[in-house]
Amino acid sequence: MSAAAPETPLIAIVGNPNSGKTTLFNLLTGLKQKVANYPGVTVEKKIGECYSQHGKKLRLIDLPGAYSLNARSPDEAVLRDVLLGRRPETPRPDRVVCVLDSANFERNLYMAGQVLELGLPTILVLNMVDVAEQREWRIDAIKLSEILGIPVVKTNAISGQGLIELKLALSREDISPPKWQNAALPEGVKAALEHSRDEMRQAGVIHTRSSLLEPLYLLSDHDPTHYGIADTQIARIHELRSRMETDFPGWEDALVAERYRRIEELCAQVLKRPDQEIETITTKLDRILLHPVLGFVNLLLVLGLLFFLIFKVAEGPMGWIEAGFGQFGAWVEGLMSPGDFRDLIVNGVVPGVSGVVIFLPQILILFFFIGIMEDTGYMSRLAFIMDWAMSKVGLNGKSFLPFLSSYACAIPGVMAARTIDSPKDRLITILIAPLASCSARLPVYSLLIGVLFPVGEVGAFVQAGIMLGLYSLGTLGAFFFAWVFNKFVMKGSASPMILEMPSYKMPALKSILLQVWQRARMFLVRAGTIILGISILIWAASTYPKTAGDDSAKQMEHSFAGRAGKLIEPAIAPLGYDWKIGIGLIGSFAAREVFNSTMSVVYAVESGDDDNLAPLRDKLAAERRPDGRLVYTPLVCISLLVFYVFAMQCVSTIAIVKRETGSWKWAMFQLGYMTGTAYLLSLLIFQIGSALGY
Amino acid sequence: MPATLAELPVGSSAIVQAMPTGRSCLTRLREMGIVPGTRVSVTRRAPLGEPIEICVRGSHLSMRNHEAAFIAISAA
Amino acid sequence: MNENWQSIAAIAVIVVTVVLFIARAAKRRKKPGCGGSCGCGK
Repeated sequence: MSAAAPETPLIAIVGNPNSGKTTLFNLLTGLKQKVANYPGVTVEKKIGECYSQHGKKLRLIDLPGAYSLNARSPDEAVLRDVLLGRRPETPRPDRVVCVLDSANFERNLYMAGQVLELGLPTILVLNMVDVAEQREWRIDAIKLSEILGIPVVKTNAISGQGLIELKLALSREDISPPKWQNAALPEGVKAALEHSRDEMRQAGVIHTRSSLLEPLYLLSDHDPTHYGIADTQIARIHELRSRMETDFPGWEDALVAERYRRIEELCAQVLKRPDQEIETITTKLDRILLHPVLGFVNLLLVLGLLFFLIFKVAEGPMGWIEAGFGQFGAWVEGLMSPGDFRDLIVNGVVPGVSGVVIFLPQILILFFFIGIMEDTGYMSRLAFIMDWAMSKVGLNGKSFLPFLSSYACAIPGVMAARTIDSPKDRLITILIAPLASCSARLPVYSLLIGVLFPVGEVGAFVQAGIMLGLYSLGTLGAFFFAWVFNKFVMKGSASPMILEMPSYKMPALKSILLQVWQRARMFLVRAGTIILGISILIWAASTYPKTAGDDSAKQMEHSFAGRAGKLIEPAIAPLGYDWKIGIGLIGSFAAREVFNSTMSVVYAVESGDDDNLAPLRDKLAAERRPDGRLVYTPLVCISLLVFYVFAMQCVSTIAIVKRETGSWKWAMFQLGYMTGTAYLLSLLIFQIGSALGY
Repeated sequence: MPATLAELPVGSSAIVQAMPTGRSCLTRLREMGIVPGTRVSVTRRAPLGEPIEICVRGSHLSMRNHEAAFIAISAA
Repeated sequence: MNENWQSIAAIAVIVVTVVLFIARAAKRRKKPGCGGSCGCGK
């Protein structure tokens, strides 16, 4: 996109969350878009291309949805900074398309007003006109256009209504700055802001030509991360800000009230709405979907459907992927003569990459499901119903779905935490998400439960009961740590939960599929690069240095991995594990289910695949220590199971957490606290159990 | 007449009388349209008491009692 | 002969992987702090 000619105009699309802004952007640009992150922060930067009605090339940038330019989160800080031209890697937009939800016209005008104050040529889009009509809200677009002196277009992003008019408006190069007077600042505040501007200019915080709005928004920055403001300047801004607060208490609030006064004046001229609220589909649906009993039942049904799709429907495609990789491996095996390179591909690369790519169907389903829930408006209702429970551990309702998703795989769960706007809640959700027992733990659980209670001796009921217990243990752990982090690690103001309840609408399928595709591509790129590399390294660790013979178990013992297993044996012996289990634990750091295949190699069991655990299980159950005692006593199995519930053993998740939190600090913290907890609990279980004579 | 929005019964409406200034979470509520003089109504309450859903300027928002308790109201 | 070729190829792939990982880590380390995007002029 950077190759585009400099004269290609850059048009920013801005709007409130739920205004249908991104759907409109996707409709205009289609697949011609690039998704990246703003450097140093996990806010998506989407730039796309489209052609105007006259065939002229335009560049569109979809800025994060926000309620105000007074930033409260990194997302809103990005919006503010791009619109003010404060970001060197993103040029200031030449024009702005401001998307409004017509059914929430008055409230959406708040940020629209702030955008108009910036004085950039702006097009107002009244989106979701159909929902407004249901509510019998009539907006006089012509009059609005006359008053503001800018184009106003009515659209329905789902049906495509008004798209041609919007493209025509995008073609116009003669759009004049809006006739929207800047909000009158409270007495004395203007002088104080001018003074602050001079000081900020001298300190190099802002550009010499910046308007009064730049110091205004910097002083009213409520984003706790102060994203986009250099550390050296934060103190200066804080100082100016507290001076403003002392001299003019409540100046920000007075400004908000003044803006709404002017919005009310404008609405009186262009908006007609009934005195009493009309019964709409939304009010009718909410009576059921938010009903104390029916709402909860419905929620369980929705989540049941989600789990059915993730665990049952995804099974088919997951099997195909596994079979495909298996066939590829077999094909290579037949093609080449035996040797290290063949072994690297067949036993290193193929199983390593396939073990991660196999989760692609689950990820696709999950993001499609989340997309539908967000787009229809049900996500807010889910957060509303779950908020009370989540608030007990210091989180809010929006953390529920990312956490739930982590039962399939922590990677999409961590990625889905982007929907949480409070940075603190988002971080805590990311930190606890991998405690949800993901599907990669399932094969390990199955194997060890099988060793613990061979089928036949006790019913499948006991096995299922233990499985349920392991899932509950992880869940309780997650809630416990959320509470701890909230209380002791991340002190600071409790983030308020302010949730918009948008009108229900039909989902824009095309736009959702586009987003699913973008996530899937991100995941596949990751599997093709980092995971590929790690698989190669793990193969190397278990292959070198080489032994003379053909005995794979001997080779494993002699290899780096085997030596590492012996090296950590003193550390894991108090947990009841020997060095062979140590190799399994080390291997599990690539992906947990690798435990099973590693143990197959360690014990030289043929065909230790997931479908047929029996040979490996029997081998484990019969394995004895040099002194003749059983290795896998019930106590060791339980200690190992608990270790797998809590330990952070997934390189892919660590990599994703590093990316989503923007630093290694939190990824390492997570690795430490989870693995530390796993170690301590397993230690306690084994030591106390041994002391009691088990 | 209840004194704050947190106490307003479901289905009734009131006028926002006053809100403390200088609190960032309340500033955001103001930006969402709840400023002194605005009419608000409570649409519903979650089964366990929180959060509450309110309607202001035709928009539906939900919040917890903690925030709602800062918003002083008077009869509509 | 053939086996020999494979041993060298496997080691080459591993070396390339290690080098790429180190290069990645080194590239990241070059730009600390703001990531060069905050307007602080670094």
